[in-house]
Amino acid sequence: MRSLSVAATGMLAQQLNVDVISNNIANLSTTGFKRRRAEFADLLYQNYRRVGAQSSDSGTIVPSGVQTGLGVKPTAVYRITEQGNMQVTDNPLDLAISGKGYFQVELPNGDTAYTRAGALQRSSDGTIVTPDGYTVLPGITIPDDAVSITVDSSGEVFAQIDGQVAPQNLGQLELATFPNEAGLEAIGDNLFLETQASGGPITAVPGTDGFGTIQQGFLETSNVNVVSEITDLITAQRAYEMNSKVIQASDQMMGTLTQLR
Amino acid sequence: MENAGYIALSRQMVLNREMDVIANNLANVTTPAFKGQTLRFQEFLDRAKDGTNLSYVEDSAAPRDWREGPLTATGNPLDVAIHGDGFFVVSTPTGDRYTRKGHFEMDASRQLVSSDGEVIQGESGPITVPQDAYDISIAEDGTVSAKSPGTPQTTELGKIRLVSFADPQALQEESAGLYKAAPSATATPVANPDLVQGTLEQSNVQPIIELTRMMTVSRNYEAAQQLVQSEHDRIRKAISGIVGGA
Repeated sequence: MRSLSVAATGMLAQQLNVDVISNNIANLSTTGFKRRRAEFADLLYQNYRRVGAQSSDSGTIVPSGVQTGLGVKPTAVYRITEQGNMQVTDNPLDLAISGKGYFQVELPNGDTAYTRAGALQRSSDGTIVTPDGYTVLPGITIPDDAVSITVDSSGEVFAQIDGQVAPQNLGQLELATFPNEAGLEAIGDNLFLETQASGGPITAVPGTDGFGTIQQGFLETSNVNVVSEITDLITAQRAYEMNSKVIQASDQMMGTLTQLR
Repeated sequence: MENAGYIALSRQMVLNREMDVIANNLANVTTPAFKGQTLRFQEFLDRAKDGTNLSYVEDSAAPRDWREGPLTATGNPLDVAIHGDGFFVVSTPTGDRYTRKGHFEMDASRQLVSSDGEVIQGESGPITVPQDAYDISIAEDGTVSAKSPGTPQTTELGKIRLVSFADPQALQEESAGLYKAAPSATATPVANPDLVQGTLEQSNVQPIIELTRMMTVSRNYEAAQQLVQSEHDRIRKAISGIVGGA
């Protein structure tokens, strides 16, 4: 019974689908998270009666043949980079990117990672860092006597120093974009790494053509849409059940065979 | 005399295969642009020694249901659904293949490719997105354009090639939603393409129909089995009657 193994590929595929959906739902409130989508393709086909075969000596041709498929396989789990919603936090170091681009973060090993999660903090020496303590490039230090920090939409960071009239310019945040954003490799902790598929980073000041702007006091929430995830989950669960029904029915058919004596 | 058993057996064989087809349809219920199959049967006549016709059954065709699947929005700018007629053309090492699955990605050289990395054909060669381009848009007619820094207007990058066939049953599926055209079939350009960006065509399998077909198949299988069983009992009775009576 081929239908048994075909239905098994279907159940495996739906299991992966549920895995992807559950990860999306688990990251519903992860800052800057981009939802993922599992994509499937049908497996090879087996020919019993080949399309285009001759069905008589006078050259009549079988128009569609008997071709049966061998099931389904996952082909891609791709990230959908749609903008997430903006949430007001009123924290001066919460920075959201409206539009394209990633903050650049220096990893402990010296590599550069990219993130859209702009929940930034101050380290003990005043540097602007991610919640994990990694420096946000180019490494901006906030003086101890700063009373307020302003980040404008083009990424310039200003501090108001106690007793001074004019704000002090502390540095400029740059954003990175990629020729193929979907090709970035997620390494967890909201961080991404450049890959051969993503292409090299292109950096510019926020607000330049093709780059987003910075919104201070906001966080970009995940772009997971609960309603569509739940409906996808139901679809996946039902598809899983249907494939298990196929297994049951195939088993029943085999069962009738064994009753023969 | 034993023909009834063989006829029932021919029925069971096609039912087995129909079950395979249903299983494949249901396994691909979430495969984008998948087209369900049905199995057609035909009578196979054989003349017995006494001149009467014996009618067996065999499967003659497994045509695809080419109806359009539902379109769902994915939010991915490189997902494109074909509304209406047509196929995308994919360049593979073994020649051109046709597909309705419009999930595209970009490879390292920024060409539009399928999820297997095979180049999607444009009307004048592959479509390459320049390094610094952003905001890729795909128009209804397949024109791909993007914005480049410093210029307010969009730049046209190419037009996705869309072809159709007079008889789509002449297409043979290989795998991963890619179809191969019969040598006699000619691909003609689609006159009025209707592409929808950010959307994928879903599988056109209707699970309820498949499940009822599955129930029918397994019941028919049992019925054929009962025929085999009763034929078996009949012969056994006949033998024991003759042998027992002697």
